[in-house]
Amino acid sequence: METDDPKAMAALLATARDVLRSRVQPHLQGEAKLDAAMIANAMGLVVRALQDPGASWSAQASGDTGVEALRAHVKRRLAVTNPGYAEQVRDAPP
Amino acid sequence: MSVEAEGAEEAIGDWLSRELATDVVIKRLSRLGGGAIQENWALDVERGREPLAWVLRTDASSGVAVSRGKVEEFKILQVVRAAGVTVPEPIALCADRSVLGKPFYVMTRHPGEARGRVLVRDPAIDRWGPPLADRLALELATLHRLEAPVAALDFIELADHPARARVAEYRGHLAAMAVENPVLTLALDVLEVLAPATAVPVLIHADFRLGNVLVDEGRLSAVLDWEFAAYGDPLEDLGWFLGRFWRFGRWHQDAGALSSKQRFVEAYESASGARVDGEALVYWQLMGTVRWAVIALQQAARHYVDREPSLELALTGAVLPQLEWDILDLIEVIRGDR
Repeated sequence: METDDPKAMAALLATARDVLRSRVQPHLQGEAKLDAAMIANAMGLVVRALQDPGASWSAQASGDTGVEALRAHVKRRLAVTNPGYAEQVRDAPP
Repeated sequence: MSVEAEGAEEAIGDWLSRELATDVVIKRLSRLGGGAIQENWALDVERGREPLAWVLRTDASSGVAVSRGKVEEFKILQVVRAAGVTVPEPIALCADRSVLGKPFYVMTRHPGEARGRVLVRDPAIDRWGPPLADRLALELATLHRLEAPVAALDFIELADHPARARVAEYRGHLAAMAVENPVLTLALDVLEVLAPATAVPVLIHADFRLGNVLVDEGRLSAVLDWEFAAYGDPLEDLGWFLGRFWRFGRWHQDAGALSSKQRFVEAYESASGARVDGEALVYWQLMGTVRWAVIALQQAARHYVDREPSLELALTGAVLPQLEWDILDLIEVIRGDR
C-alpha cells in the first residue's frame, strides 16, 4: 500500500476533517466556530477533488459542448463542490 | 489618518461641525460587520444637544475595481432619495483626503438586519416575505422611473445597447483571467445572439437582492449598497433579484427567497405601469447568473492569482459548478426544452 498517493492523501485529509468536526468544533464558539466550519468545508472539497481529479474542465475528455454533455460534466463537478445540489433544485424554478 | 487612527473621532467631528455649520461631537465610532468592498462605521453623534445615529461609509482597502467610489455613490444616493426610493438620508460628503486618507460620506443609520442567511431563518418569513417582496418591487419601479441620462449623474456611462455591453464586459473579464469554461462560453454566445434592445435605459441598482436591503421586523427599512449603480435595462435588476443564488436554500421562493416570481412580477407591473416581457426576463436571469459566475471567478483569482490569501475568497470559487448547473437550466428554458 502506498501512503502518499492521492487516494491515501484524500483518506488522510478526510480523517483530519472528521477529527476537526467531532473533537474540535464542539468546543468552539462564535466566529471561531464559523471559521472551523469553513475549514471543514474546504477540507471536504479537497477530499472529493482528490478522489475525482477528472472533474475540472481542463480534464473533460470529450470536448463536447452540447447541453447534455456539459450537464453530465457539471454533475461530476457538483459531486466535488456541492454534492446534492442537483437534487435540491430538481423541481425548483430556475 | 485612517478611521482606526488615534484622533480620527476628533477629526471627523471637526469636519462635520464645519460641514454642517453646527457643533457635532462624536460619542461613539465602531466598525459595523460585513462589507469586503466597503467599510461601514456606526457613528453616534450629538448635534447641538440632539443625539443622532449615523453611518460613516468608506472604501475598504481591498475594493473591487468596478465598484463606484464614495463621491459618486453619495451623489447617486442623493438622486434616488429625491426620487422616492427608501434609502438612508445622505448627510455630508468628504472628498478631502486629508481628513481620513480617503473619501467618505455620512448617512443616517436605520434599524434592521441585512444578512440574507439570517433573514431566511426567521420562522415568520412565510408571513412577511411576500409583502416585503411586493414592497421591493415597488422600490425598483420607483428607481426605474429615473430615465438615463440623469443630469446629476453625468459620470455614469450610457451604453448604446446595454445587453451587448454586458456580454462584452463579461467576455473581457474571462479573457483577462484566461478562463476557459465551456458553460460560460455557451451562455455568452446565447446572450449575444438573443440580446434584446432596451427601449428606455434607466438607472439600475445592479445589486438588488436580499443582503443589500435592511429589513426590520419583516418590513423594509432601507435599500443599501449603491456602489454598482449603472444605466441599463430595468429587467437587469429583476433578473438579478430572481437568481437561484439569492434564495439561500428556499429554492421554491423564486423571488429572492421571499415570494413567487409571478407575484413579484405582478407587483412590479402594477407599480411601474409597464408590462414585463417573460422571455426577456429569463434572458436577464441568465445574464445575472453569468455575472455571478464571473464575480466568483474574480473573487477566487484574488486568492489564487493576486496572492490575497483568504479562505472565504477561495471558497467563493467553489460555487461555480452550482452556477453552471443553473445556467444550463436557464438555457433549456430559453430553448423551450424545459
